[in-house]
Amino acid sequence: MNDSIETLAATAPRRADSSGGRRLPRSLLLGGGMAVLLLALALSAPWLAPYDPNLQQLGARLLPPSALYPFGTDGFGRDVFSRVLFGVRPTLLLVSIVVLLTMPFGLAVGIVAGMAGGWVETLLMRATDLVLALPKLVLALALVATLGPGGVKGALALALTAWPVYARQARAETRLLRNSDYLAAARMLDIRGLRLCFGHVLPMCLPTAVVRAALDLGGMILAIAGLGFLGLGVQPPTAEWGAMVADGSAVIFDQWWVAMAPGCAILLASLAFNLLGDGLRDWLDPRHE
Amino acid sequence: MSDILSLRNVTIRHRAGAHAPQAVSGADLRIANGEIFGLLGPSGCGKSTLLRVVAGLNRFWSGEMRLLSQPVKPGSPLRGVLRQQVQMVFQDPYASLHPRHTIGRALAEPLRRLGERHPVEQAAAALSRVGLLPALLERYPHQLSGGQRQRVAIARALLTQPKLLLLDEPTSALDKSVQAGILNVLSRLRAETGTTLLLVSHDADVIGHLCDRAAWMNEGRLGPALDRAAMVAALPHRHVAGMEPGEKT
Amino acid sequence: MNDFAPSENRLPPLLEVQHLSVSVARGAGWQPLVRDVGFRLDGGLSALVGESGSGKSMTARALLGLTSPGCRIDAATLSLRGQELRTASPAQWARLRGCHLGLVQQDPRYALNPVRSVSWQVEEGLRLHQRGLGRAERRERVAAILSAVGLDPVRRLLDAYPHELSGGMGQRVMLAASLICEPELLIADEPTSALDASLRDQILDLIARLAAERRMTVLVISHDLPLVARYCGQVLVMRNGELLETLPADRLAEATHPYTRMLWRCQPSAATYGQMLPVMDEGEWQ
Repeated sequence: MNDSIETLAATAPRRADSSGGRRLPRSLLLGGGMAVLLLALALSAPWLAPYDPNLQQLGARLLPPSALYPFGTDGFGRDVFSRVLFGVRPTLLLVSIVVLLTMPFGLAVGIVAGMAGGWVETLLMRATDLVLALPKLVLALALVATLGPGGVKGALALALTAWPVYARQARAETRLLRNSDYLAAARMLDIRGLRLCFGHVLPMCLPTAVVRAALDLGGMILAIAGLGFLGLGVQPPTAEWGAMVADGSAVIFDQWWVAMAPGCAILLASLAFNLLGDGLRDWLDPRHE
Repeated sequence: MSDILSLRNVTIRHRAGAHAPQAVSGADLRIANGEIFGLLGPSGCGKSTLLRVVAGLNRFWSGEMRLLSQPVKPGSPLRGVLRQQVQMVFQDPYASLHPRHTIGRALAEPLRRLGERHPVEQAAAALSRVGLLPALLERYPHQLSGGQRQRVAIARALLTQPKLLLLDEPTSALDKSVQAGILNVLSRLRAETGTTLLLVSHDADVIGHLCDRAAWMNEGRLGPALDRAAMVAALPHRHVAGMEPGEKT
Repeated sequence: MNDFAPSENRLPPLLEVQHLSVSVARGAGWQPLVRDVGFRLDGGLSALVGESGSGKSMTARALLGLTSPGCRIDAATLSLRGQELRTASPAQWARLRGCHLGLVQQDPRYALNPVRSVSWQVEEGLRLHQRGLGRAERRERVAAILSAVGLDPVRRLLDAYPHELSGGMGQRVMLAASLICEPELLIADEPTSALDASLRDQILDLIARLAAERRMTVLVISHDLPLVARYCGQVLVMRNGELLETLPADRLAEATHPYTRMLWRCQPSAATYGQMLPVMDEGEWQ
């Protein structure tokens, strides 16, 4: 029997009638559920969408929402509902690219800096500070202007400026852990260098990085949409929410649905990932009751 | 038989720089093979710092050190055979095991580094040597009691079959009754394998129970080594040093 | 149950506990942490001894009304000078804890507020529970109580923060903070476990002296039986949530219960050199 009386009492739930284990926070369930729904929509768009998102019906331009067109049609006679559904794909794809590139790279830089100390740490952290000081969107614009527009290029450009926060966080945590006894014990058994960094330090830095990534996803969605709005992200005719909002802004006063539908989609997706990140943070933090 | 450890005029600082404050000044120490040697002193006297230098965890020291008859240079890490021959058990059993690794991983990883063919069986054998069941291999540290964790820490330190085992207050965070079990493990260890133990403690009773010889330490200064008779005579009844600095202001 | 301290008056005993149980919610039911504990405290020092996980700290928290909300307390009697505590409201508990019940905990690094000065923390009890006092008088009392615990109440100490204090000083500050409102019952939860061995006797000596001076009853909770037996009149031994036995300290050497005997004799010393110390069944390591 390994539950000592002290640990049992310390984890006694707030309400006397709750189930014994750690309860999943509501924000985690809600955010996670919404994220899963988004994924499901992205995967099943071809079957759910009533029309081809790129099918132009010039006789049916700018029609208000109706039974035939749930979100109305845009300036080219394309069904807005279908375009919103298909728009989940580039959004999720590009956001994933950004996060999957930035998180590992930032973690690696931060952990190496924190463990190495000395001039290595100074060098890496000053480089991190430099990139952190650059305005994200402006740099993305500059890169896209040089490399040419495109969804993936835009995502890469954003990734280039998004990694510093992971590096700073990982380095701060690593510095705290650096003097812990379990790392000293590993060093005494000749576990050092990269093996120590990634086998022993990384598992301790990972939870906060994951939480941060989930929270960042919300912001990234807005950034990708921003690039799309400026015409520098995904190129037409591919459906992408930011570009759709741009298209709709020209007719926003009379045909509000063309911008409103993708705008709400951006809002909901962003909210989903923010809730997910919040919930993950609450759940993973052992000090949170 | 030559000394396992010899220190001459060793001065230790907490960080780099010739003007950094000294934690230990001018320490001389010789420990013979197979004995249990105690370092006794109040919190903050520098005994743990000295131990970490011998362990190779602190490089800000100067002076002469010979470990298993080989000279050790300040600032250079211990490598190879020397790294295996000196191991350490840390004070806080709650902090010396990686919280996200199972006990099995904590023991098997160093065994694999040593090139052992059957690390899991050897890990189970290591546990039973300190009186633990192999079922604990799948558990995480937070599922073990303090006494069990400390036994795992001892088992881990013994994996490389070290000639010198350093112990930094191994029982001060444990209940008295649990402490007795750990002290028994250490007594059995010395009787069965002849490993040399260097034990640091603030508790005169623990030193008196285990050690063949001991030295006092206070405010960074290491006193002369005393043999058993002198040590027992000098062990004051339950008091080591007088009032702490600051209490008489 | 025997009275170990002579009753000097006809008042009901300071603390009477009968059939106290503490349980925590687990799944659909309740898991007992403390089962059927009963004792009486009326003057002098008593010790509640057991290993980690024996329920001794849980019992202390039940006496102070400080168990976590998910825990349930059942008792036939839980009374302070005849006043029944089982039905006390949170406001009543707060008054009791400030003025009549005191608590000293184990580690000043965790039990003292790290962002407040020593004088602020020691004075806090007065600010909360004795509103009628002026600032000057509060300062005087702080200085008086700090002297009483063996600290010189100079400016440097009063303005110091907990991390600037040594272990022994921190422990004395905690004592001062809990004694400033002159409680009748002081519960000391492992007051010496975080200290060097050399300081443990000093702190227990201090507690014993203060108890005698202030006619205060003290319950010391500890895992070190021989240590507390030197200062306490009666000893209560707990294991796995149950009270195994209650006996006077001077009869510990002849205790018959095997667990008590083990706790009493597991103490290492120069005299036990080369011997194996008695422990409970080694086969329990699973």
